[in-house]
Amino acid sequence: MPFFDTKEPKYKPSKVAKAEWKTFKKGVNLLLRETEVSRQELVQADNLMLIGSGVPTGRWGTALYFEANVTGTTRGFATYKSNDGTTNEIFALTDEGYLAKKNGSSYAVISGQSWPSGTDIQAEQLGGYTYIVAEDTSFTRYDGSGLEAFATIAAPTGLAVSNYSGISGLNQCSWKVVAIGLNGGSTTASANYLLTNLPNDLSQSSYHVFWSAPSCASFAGFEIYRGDPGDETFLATTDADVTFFHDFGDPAAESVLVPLTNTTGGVQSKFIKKYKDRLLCVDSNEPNKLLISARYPYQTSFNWMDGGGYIYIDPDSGDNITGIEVQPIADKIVIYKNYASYLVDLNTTQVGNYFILDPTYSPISTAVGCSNPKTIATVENDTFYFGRSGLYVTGYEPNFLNIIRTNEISARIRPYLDKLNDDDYNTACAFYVDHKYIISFPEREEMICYDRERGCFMGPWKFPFGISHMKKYTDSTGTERYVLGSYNDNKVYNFDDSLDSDNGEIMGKTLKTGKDYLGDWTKLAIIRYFYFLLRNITGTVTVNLYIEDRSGTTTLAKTFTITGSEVSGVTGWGTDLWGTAQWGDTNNDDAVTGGEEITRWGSLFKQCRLVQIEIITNTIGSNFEMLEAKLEATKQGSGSLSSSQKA
Amino acid sequence: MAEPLFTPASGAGTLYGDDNTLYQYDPNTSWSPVASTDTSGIVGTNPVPTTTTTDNNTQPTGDVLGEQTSTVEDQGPSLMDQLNDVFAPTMNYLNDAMSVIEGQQPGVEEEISRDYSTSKESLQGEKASGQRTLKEQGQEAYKRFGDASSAARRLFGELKTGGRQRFGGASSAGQAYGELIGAQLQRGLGAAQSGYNDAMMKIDNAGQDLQMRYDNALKELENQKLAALNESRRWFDEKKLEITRLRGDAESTKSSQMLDLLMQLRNQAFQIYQQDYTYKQQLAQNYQANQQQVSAAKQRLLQFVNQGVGAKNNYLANSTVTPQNYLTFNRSPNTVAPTYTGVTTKKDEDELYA
Repeated sequence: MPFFDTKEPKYKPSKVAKAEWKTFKKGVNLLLRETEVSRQELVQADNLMLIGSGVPTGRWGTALYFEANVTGTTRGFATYKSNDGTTNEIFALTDEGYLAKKNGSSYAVISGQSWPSGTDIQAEQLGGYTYIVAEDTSFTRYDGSGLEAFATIAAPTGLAVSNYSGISGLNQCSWKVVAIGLNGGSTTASANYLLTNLPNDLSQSSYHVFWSAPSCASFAGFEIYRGDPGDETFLATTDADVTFFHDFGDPAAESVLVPLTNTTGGVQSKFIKKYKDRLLCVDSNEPNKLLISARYPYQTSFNWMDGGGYIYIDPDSGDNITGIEVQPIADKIVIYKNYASYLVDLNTTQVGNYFILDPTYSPISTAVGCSNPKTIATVENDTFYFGRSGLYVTGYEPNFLNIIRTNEISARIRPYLDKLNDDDYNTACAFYVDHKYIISFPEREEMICYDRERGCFMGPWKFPFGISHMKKYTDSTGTERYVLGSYNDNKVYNFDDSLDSDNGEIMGKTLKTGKDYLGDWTKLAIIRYFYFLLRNITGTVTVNLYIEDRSGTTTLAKTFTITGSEVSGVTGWGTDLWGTAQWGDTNNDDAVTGGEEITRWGSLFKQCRLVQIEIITNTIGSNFEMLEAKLEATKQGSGSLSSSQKA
Repeated sequence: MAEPLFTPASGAGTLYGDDNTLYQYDPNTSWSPVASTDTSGIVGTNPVPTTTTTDNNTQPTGDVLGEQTSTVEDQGPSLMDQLNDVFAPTMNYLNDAMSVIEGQQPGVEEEISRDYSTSKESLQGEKASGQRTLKEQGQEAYKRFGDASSAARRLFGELKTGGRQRFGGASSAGQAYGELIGAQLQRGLGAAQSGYNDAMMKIDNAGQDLQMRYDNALKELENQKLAALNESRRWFDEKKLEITRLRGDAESTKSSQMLDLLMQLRNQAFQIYQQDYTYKQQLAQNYQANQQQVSAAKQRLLQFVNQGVGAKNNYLANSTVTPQNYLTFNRSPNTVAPTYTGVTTKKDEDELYA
């Protein structure tokens, strides 16, 4: 006998589908489709950064810091700070060729050296000097008052030699003299002087060697070489003020030959990096040769005799050194190439009574590298660098001591990077400030911010100008300045967290969440209510709610605007354009409120398959903090999708 | 019979015959007493004949020794012979000794020279040996220098290879190492060179010392030779002198004895002389008287001769050998005497053949 349940089933109302955005601590994610990103991620975060637990808000504005020279674009920054702090300067080089130090909002030229147009500089301070290098200009240092160039010294002239005694023979010898620069470099040799009819045993006589000093400001001394013509070897040195030498026929060196090139101009290098009390450079003529200076106070000498040295990193491999960084804590140097990175150890080897520098290197990666030294930054205990494979970090492998690993961290912005061209890679620059690694693409006039605290990207940050050089500088008031050098002109800007504009121009902000299915993409949902929680609204903030309706069309389902004055009356700074009115003086609407949370909610009751939230500001002085958002919806049953989409 | 000590002068007359040489008569010699005899001397103050020369008078002459010798000879052949016989052994012995000494001296000098030559040859041998040794030392030092240099270079090569293996060429460590081992090589070569130079200098100095010492030794040897020769000569000379002295002493003794004998003889002869002197004086007076008579007679004869001479001179004065010719033609007083040609003069034969 069949059995039938005659009891009426209990009504179970469908669950309310909720979509909540409580934090955006995962930042922007461009790698995934907009429907794939999590609710902690954003698909667009133009000119936004994260604060707190992952609250998006507008980035810092920028203001003119000072103008460097009159013409040209920024080619590099340097700073100098005396030990007592009385001198604390930042200066910039522009294509005009002169270093200009900030002097109020203007500049003052530092004399003593000039650079060709288009030459980038890098600088490091050590031992009371700021050393400035460029690939085509002599090593230069700044002592707080003026520049001192390690100028190229001409070879000595007027060399002559006389045989004191009448002892003669069939022997002949040639003498040469070179001048030694302050940095340990040497000139090429003077024209040789040949003496014939000398005794076979040179010690049977003595020879008066004399010459004329080159005309230059200063140099360290002279080296005398003697031997067969064309095969002279090192014999002796004299001080700078001694232009003669009494050669008593002592044996000359066997293997120290006359220098073939003039290195008195100091090293010419694209890079300079401080490693403890040494300076690291790369010979611009030998782009795989890492130069290591002697230790303080001999940091201007790269000679092994002074404790310096060099090492060729993967020499002549077709990939040149593109950057140097010191790996924090590890006491190691990291050398970057376009497609490789290497760890350099500075060891010493005892040879007799000498402790010679014995640098060695080992590859970290032979696949990824750095495209530009300006993108390398020390980020806490790690080193960030940007290359053609993306943004990578070099640091300790967690839980393993002394193991250096490198990992990519730019996966989420890879689609953005795919759009970069060679110039973008070559002109990019970065710095690490406020726990953010900010990399600039001056030709795109954009920046990407990597939030170290949250481990996510924000941006891009869009500017009305390109930024080609960035420098963190603490001024004499103790204020950290995030200084930006314009790629377009001679202006130097700095980030200012109190500004919501870029040098008076609109800094539009756009926040866009991912497209949310509200649980199941195969079923439509009816959005019933929406809730928004914001804070610190300034200016005008527009909130848009986009949906993809049953027919598959994306429509703006809801839009509303929040203004500062609407929230909390008229206070604070106005939103007048820069230069048209005084700050906070007129047009008192749209003023900022206090720190109170702003809640906006409403009912929508619209059918959709996808929903996306957008918050934008397009006026000067407008900003917001997006705390949370929530949607409540009712999911429809299966087969609720559009019949037109039915296969 | 012994040879007379004195031989009468040629033309001298003799008073007592040719055999008696003691009283040889010399017309040019006058006699005077000799000084008295000194006991320490041979010749005393007794009157001795002195010789005076007169134009036409010849007085008896002679000397005491001659008289004595004559006297000794007279009695002495036996005395002299005896005396000679007495001294003959001594003199013979001394002569023999002299002969022996003189005969030995050349041998001794030759021996000294031979010793010198032997020593010199030994020195030369030593010197040559030393030079050879020094040369060998120099060669060994040079070889050692070469070995040291080679070792230094070999070490440099090994170190260089080791450096290349250890450092390669891609870092300053390789360059530094290369320069350091280069300096090490330089030091090594310098040390080897310096050591070699020092060694060669010492060897050279040793060579110079060797030469100097050889020269000094040679000089010393020469001096020793000369000293030995001198000593030998001096010894021989002393011996000769001694012999000569002994011979002189013998001669002196002999002469002294002979003098004593002669003085004895002289005294005897003087007594005889004194006895005869008176007689001789008488004879002389007689002779003078005779001479005066002869002289007076000569004067008278001379007067006659002078008369004859006067007569001749008168004749010569009054006679002529150039009689006057009154038959000659007069000629002009201004006539120049003709020049004759063909006058021949005799030439010496030497000039003819000169």
